[in-house]
Order: sequence, then structure tokens, then C-alpha cells
Amino acid sequence: MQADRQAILAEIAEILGAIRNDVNTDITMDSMFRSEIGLASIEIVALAGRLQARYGTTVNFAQFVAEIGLQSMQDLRVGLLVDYIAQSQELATG
Amino acid sequence: MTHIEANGITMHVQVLEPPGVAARTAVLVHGLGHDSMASWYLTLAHPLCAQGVRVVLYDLRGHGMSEAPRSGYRLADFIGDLEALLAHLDVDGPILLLGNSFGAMVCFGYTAVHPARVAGMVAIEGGPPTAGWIGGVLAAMRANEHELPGFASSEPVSVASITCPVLCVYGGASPVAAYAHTVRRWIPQAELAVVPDATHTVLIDQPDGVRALIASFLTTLEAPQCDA
Repeated sequence: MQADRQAILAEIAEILGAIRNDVNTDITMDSMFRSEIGLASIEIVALAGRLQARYGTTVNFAQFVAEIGLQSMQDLRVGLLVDYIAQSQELATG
Repeated sequence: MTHIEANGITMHVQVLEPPGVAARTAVLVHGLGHDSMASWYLTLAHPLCAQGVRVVLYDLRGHGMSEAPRSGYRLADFIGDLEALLAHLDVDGPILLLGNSFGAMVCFGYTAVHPARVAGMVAIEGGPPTAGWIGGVLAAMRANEHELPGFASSEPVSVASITCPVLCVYGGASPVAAYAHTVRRWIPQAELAVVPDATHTVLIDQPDGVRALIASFLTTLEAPQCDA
């Protein structure tokens, strides 16, 4: 079943607002976690933790960040995370 | 899980559950200053979890997204936090402890106080809470203009009780490596490993090398008798 990427994007934006109350940028698929939203490493971990609580074992966020690597984390776009969540959900539901 | 109340403070905690039944629980402890659980989360947390280990990460008091009380930064406070965290999570089996830099000192301190609760320990770029190593931490804090109120009054902890396997990893180009040999004066069974050309930030800079050393070390530990 096709996952709703816009709904996932909205959830990520909501969680980002809870982690950082000064996030006032419009979050889009092209927003970059570090250079545009200004997330520190620990805030990316906090985001992953909250998403893990939301999606459970369907989505493995620790694996996602481990596979991206520290260097690529600098250029991580929101859309890449949305795609990963959506693809994980689609795999789980067939 | 994100925040818990333990030892009188709010602690930011993440727990990664492996698929199936966890063979062990590993607790990963980060270093000082701008460090946080992220240094572990972004490097070794997932590989450990993929090996069937339940991984617990937390931000030390005054760091990351944990509470920063005005005082209470003696080594004993950090050891107390770890103790309270494990109690909160109902972890009572022998655990694995992995510490980076100052986190290694916390791990050594906890293991010295609770030797039966630790199956094995990995120290990266750190040493035991002897007077010399505590002095080294204080000197590093001064050099980096970082302050932990009250840490200077930390008492050394006797580490003679530590009998579990210990792996110590150092960067070949790190100033800390010059003191690596002193660890075996206190903990003779400690295995020392050096990652060539790496600096104090070896965990971040060369995670693959550190991962390989730890994976090899873990295979030498006895299989757990029960779930951690």
C-alpha cells in the first residue's frame, strides 16, 4: 500500500516543533536538517527517538542514520527521511 | 522513550531493541563538553543492536538534552546516575559498558563499585578514576574552558575490584595514548588497542576501526546465562 508522504512530512514537522520551539521555517521535502533547520546531532537523535516511538519496529531509524554516515548527515534532506519511512511502511504492509 | 526521572534529574534516554530476544544489554556513555549520546548513536549503536544487543544510550547530566543542575557533577554523581538509570530500566543482569573519553571513567567507576553487574567493558580514549586520570580530566577541562561544578572534588575510586574483561582503545595520534600503559597498572587484564593515526575523536573519525575492535572483543566474552 502506498504510504502518504505528505502525512509523514507533517508528522516530522510537528515533532521538530516539539524538539525545538524556535523552528519556524516551513518544513519541506527539500529542507536540510543541519544547514537550514539548524538541528544539532543530539536533536537528530531526539527526532529519531520520537519517530521510533511513533512507528515502532516498522521503521529502523538507528539503521537509517548508521547507513547514511556522519559525513552525509550534514546534507541530510527531510525528503530522504520521509522516503525511508514511507518505503519501510510499504515493505511492512506489502 | 525520550526522558526519564532518575537520581533527582531528568535524563534523555534512548533504548534500541534488537530483533528477537536481546542477548545482553549494553550501555553507551559519552564524553564531556559538546559531546552527547549522538556520538554513539551515529556510530556504533546500530551495529551493536544488529548483533543482538539491547542498546541503552543516555545524555550525561549537564549534556545533550538531559537536565543541567547547577551543582552535582562529582564523579560519584555520574556513577549514581548510571545506577539509577539501570534501576529505572529494570536492568539487573551483567551488562556491557562502553565509555568514550570521560564516559570511560564513568564506566570504570561504575564497574569498580558494582563488579558483579558488568560482564565486560570498553573504554575509548579514557582511563580509570585514579587520582592521575582525574587530574588529566581536570587539565583537559581547563584547556577547553569547560567546567563541571564540583567535579574537582571527585574522590578517586579503587578499581582493584574490576575483574571483568576490559578493552581500551586509543588513537595513535592522541595525547591520551601516552598514558594508556598506566591502565594495566591498575587493571592488569585490560587489553590495549591503538588505532593508527587517530586522534582523541577516534570514535567519530574512525568508527569502522573501533567497531571491528569491539566486535572482536565481544566474541571473547562468555555467553550470558540469562537475559539482561
